[in-house]
Amino acid sequence: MIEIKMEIKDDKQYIARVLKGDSGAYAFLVKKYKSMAYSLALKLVKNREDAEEIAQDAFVKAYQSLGQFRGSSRFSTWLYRIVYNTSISRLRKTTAEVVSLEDSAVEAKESSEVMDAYYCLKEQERKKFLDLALEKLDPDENFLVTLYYYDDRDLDEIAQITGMTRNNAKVKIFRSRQKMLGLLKEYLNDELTMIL
Amino acid sequence: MKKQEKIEERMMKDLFSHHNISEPSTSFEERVMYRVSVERKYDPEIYRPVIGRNGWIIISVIASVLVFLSIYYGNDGVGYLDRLFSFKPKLDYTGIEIAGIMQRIGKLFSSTSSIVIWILAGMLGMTFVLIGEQMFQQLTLRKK
Repeated sequence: MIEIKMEIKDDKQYIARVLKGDSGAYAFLVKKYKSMAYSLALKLVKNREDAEEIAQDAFVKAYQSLGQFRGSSRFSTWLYRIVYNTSISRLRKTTAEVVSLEDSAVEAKESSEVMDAYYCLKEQERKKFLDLALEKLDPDENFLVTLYYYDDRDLDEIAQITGMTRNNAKVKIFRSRQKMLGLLKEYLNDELTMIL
Repeated sequence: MKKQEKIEERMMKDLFSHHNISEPSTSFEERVMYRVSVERKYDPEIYRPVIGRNGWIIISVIASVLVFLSIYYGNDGVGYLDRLFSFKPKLDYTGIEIAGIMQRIGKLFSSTSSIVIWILAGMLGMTFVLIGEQMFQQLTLRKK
C-alpha cells in the first residue's frame, strides 16, 4: 500500500513537470513502465516487432493526452489501458485469430495432489513450466493473469484497464487459473513419464 | 474465499514470482522520446482557459441578476409574466435607492413562483458555465 502511494506521488511529480513544459521528465515514466507495457502488448499480439510498436504508440498517445489525465487512477493503470486498446485495435486490423485452448480444469481433489507435486519441483522447473503454461493460455488470459499475479493489480484496476466488468475479470482469472492447474497436471505427468 | 482457492492462489503467486517479463529493445526509450519531441501536436501543458470556472460562475450570476432585475423592476406595475410575453429590457437605474433595492430584492424571493424562476435561472447559469468552458477548450485546442 505504501509502495503504491509512493508510486502515485512520484508519478504525479513527473507528470506535473511534463505539463509545465519539461518534456524530458517524461523519460522517467517511459523508463519505469516500458518493460511492463511492452510485455503486456507482447502477450496480446505475440509478435516482438508489433509489441514494441504498440508500446511506443501507447507512450506517445499517453504523452499527447497527459493534460486529460485526471489522476483518479494510477498513471500505469491509465497507460496499460492505452496499451490494451492499442493492441486490440491492432489485432482487429490484422484479423488474427485467437486459438482457444480447451478448458482443462481440474477437480478440487486432483488440485491438491497437483499442488503437492508442484512444490516438489525445483525453481528452474517452475520457471520452465510457467513459460510453457503462459504460452498455451489465450492472449487475453495471459494478459489478465500477468496483471493479477505478477503486477499485483486488483480486480477493479484490471476492470479499468481492460474495460471488462469486475465480475467478468474475476471469472476469467478464475478460469485461467484452472487452466494453468490443468496444464500443470499434464506437465507433471509428462515429466514423470520421462523419468520412468 | 474457500480454503482450496486460497491454496491455489498462493501457488499461483509463487509461480509468478519466477516470471521474468520481456524487455523491449535497448533503443526503445530513445525512440519514444524522439517521437514525443517530433510528433507532439500540442504541448500537454497548454490548456488554461482565459476565464476560469469561478469567473464563469460570477459572470453567469451577474447576467442572471441583470436579466431578472430588468424583468422585475419597472414603474408600470405590470407582472413579470406579462413582461416575458412583451419583453422589452428596461435598465433605467436613475433614482434607485439602496434601501429600496434591498426591499425589492427581498420581494423577489417572497413567492413560490419567484423561487422556481430563480432555480431555473441558476440552472441556466450553470449551463452557461459548462458551455462556455467547453467552447474555450475547443478554441484553445484548435489554435494549437
